[in-house]
Amino acid sequence: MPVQKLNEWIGKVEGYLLTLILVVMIGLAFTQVVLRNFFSTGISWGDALVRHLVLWVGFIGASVAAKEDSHLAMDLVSRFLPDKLRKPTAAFVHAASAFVCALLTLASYRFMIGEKEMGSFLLPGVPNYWAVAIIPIGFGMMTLRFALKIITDIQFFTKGAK
Amino acid sequence: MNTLLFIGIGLIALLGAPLFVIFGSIALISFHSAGIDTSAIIIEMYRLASAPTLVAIPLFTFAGYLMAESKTPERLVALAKPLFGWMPGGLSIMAIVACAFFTAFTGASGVTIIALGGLLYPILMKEKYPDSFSMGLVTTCGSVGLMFPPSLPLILYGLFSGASIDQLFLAGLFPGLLIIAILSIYSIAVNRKVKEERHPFNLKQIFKAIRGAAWELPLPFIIFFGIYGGYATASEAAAVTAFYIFIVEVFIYRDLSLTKDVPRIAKQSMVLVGSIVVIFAVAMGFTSYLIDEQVPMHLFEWIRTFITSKWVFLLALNLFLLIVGSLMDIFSAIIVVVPLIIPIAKEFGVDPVHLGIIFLTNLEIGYLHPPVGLNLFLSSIRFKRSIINLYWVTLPFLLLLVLSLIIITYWPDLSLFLVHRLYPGTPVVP
Repeated sequence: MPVQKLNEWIGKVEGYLLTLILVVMIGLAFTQVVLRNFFSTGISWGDALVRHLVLWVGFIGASVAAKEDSHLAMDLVSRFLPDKLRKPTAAFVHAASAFVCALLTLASYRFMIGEKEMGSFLLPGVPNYWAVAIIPIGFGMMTLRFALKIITDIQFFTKGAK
Repeated sequence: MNTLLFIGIGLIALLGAPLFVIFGSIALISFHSAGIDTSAIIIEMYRLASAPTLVAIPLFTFAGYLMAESKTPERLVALAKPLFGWMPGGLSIMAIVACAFFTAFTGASGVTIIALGGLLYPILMKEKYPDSFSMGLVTTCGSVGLMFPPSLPLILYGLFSGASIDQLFLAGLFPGLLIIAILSIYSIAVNRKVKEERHPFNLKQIFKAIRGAAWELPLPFIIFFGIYGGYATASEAAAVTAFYIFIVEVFIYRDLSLTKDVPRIAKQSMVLVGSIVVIFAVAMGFTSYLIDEQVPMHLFEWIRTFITSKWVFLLALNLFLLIVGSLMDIFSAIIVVVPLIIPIAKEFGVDPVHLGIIFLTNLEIGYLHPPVGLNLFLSSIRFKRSIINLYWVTLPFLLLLVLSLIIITYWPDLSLFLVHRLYPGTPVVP
């Protein structure tokens, strides 16, 4: 299915982005420590940028977690469910998750618009709302991925029934 | 209508929906029914994103994953073997200490059992320790060390309780050592009859192992010296650790390939960070709503109608946290429960730093607690054992941890005396 292929491809891009951002984050945070302790100075926007990069790795990581079904969950009943019931309940849970994520996407989108109207800057030339845009993007990606999982759950179920 | 929704939410929670979906939906409903725009949920979260400590979470997690994927576990075992092997029950003590050290850095996300358990279990079996003891010990040790700096749960607790992370790091030392001591004494007592081959104390071998791990050993001292020497905050220590470990594992030991391993490890570790970040993204809005509605205060007044003593409250708190710990993972439990418990505990005169240590001890027990303790499942996957079998072999260890919990709860000075020594200004809560 082409959608699945696209999903895999996005997953790869996310992996590289995570590596890149992490390396920048570690490099910048370490530079700040060195500058502060040895030269009593620092990059004025450095700390704020590092904090926002945490949001980026966080939300991209969460999007990957939705793809890999590895979000933290209670798992009280599902581990003990008989195999027959697993896929239908998974489809139900994924549908609910997609719905909640869609609402959270809207909420965070409105939050981002609010930031845009405030017009503050994260660093010279970079408005703050670019940095927080990762929140609606992340929730949006999770919505799509949970929705995609419903399809595969149902497909598996109908195939398994034959 | 809302009752129906909450029943639905409870149902999908039991069926294994992600916790952030659960708390997200509760936050959406409560904000919506209070007539507040739901974007306020995200505003609350963004407020916390400006806390400087937040950076420590991805940095320490990445460093821990790098260590887990490199040959650090082998080097650690190679060092611990000659250090403890000459004692009676020495190898079991070695296992406990090695796991504790490793868990402090990997943040008890279960990596210890996967990375170290697989190394330690065959060693214990080779030395003719009983199988049930070895299995129980390896499963238990997956979370021992949770209270040593710079463990991720400690940092998260600090972030969500407002307690100082520097003080939490100090407070965890002796309770952590207490747990190690209790487990060690038990191991020696149980294995008196094991005909373990005593390894003579061999200074040469120790030096060789120290040289082998020479780059990793200074790390705890760098972190301690950095923080308590006043050179670095916890998040700066995290930056130094991540940078240092990255250079050491990739360029000095060359255990990991920059192009093949690092991207994979970055992705794996950030999946964990991501699932923590989204939970707090939605839980912050939810808990701050509850606090605005003064739910903790009402709860406190309700509790006070039948609990008046601090000590009875601590007992009830322990029981409550054991239940939470057996239902939820440690990260979600901290994010959701801590903001609600802190105001209540303050009313009862419990020090927030001491509360943190109690909290973590409870959650450490939660890792072993049937039915769904994480360590039980990891061990069952890693060693292909049935869960029921693991319930039995970990039972004595579970009871020992409960004993430690009682000591830690009712002896606040064990956690606090170092803090009061080094930070004489901090108020002593009566």
